[in-house]
Amino acid sequence: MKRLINILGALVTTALLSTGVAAAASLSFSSKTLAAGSAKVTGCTSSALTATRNVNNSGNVTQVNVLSVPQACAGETLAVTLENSSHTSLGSASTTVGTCTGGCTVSITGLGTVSALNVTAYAFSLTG
Amino acid sequence: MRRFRLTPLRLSAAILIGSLAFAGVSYAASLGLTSKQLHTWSQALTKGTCSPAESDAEIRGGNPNRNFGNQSSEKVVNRSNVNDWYVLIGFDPASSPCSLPATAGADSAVLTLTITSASKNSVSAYPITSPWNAATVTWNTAPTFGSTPDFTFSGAGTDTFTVTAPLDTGIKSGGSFYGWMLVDTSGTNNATTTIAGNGSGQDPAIALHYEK
Repeated sequence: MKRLINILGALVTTALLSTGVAAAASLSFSSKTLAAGSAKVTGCTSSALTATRNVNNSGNVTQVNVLSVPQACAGETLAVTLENSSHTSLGSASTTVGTCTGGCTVSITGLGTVSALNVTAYAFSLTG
Repeated sequence: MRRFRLTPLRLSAAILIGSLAFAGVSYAASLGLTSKQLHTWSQALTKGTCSPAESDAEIRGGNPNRNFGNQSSEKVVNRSNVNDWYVLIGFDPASSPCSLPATAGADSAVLTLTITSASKNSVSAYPITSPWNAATVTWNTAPTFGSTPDFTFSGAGTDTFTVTAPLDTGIKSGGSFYGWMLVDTSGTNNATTTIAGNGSGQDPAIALHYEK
């Protein structure tokens, strides 16, 4: 009986700790008042920005240029993936958005040797 | 049920568990709302092919104010840089039938030239860097052109040249692609190279694969 009580106590303790840790992930640790809730994450832009790309004379993509990137995105990481018609990645690269006046054109290089003929879509992400 | 007794061992275990839990809570609190913000999107590309509108002209140093636009044959002549004849060939990917915007680009572009007669001289194609009009251009109103040729050729026959990068740059310039100036750059004086021109049925043409 004593062993059973000890096992049950251990299980209850573990369960409570797990629940507490999981709940804490949604809380603000630095706030003075502890509270739970949810908030919509707002990035530097919610727009689908337009991009162009450059090629060399062999028809391989040399860089992708993302147009009109808001200044608020300075310091964030902009990544691009070149995709074929099956949405398979043909190459990817990223860069840090620099500072500029107004909307920036951000160029991403280092995409490898990818024929522009095979690229049918760009997939982008901005993380800050 | 027996009464629970707080022994030193149990007290130590409770303190240890409490400390571990506090560390876990601290770590968890550093995640969540302060993690990286993420915005993703995609852009689909439209692919197509077209042959940009073509025009050409001949300009002659010996007739500096006369226009020789859109002739069925155009001649490049070496006359010791005094009365040379140059040929201009231009393409307009921004107008019909291509009508490409400045956000488009060339995936591949191949220029075909038919040289109907040739000397042993070489002809170099320099990128034209200012506007010109085949119906009005003369030696004295000739556009400017670069100092490095995009391609060279010699001999008669039908030649093809890969011009993907110049076309891609030209498309992105928003209607400011001006074509090439053909100049005899080597060989003997009075040599003549004749190129099939506009309306010949063998007009200079670009096979363009584009994306937009």
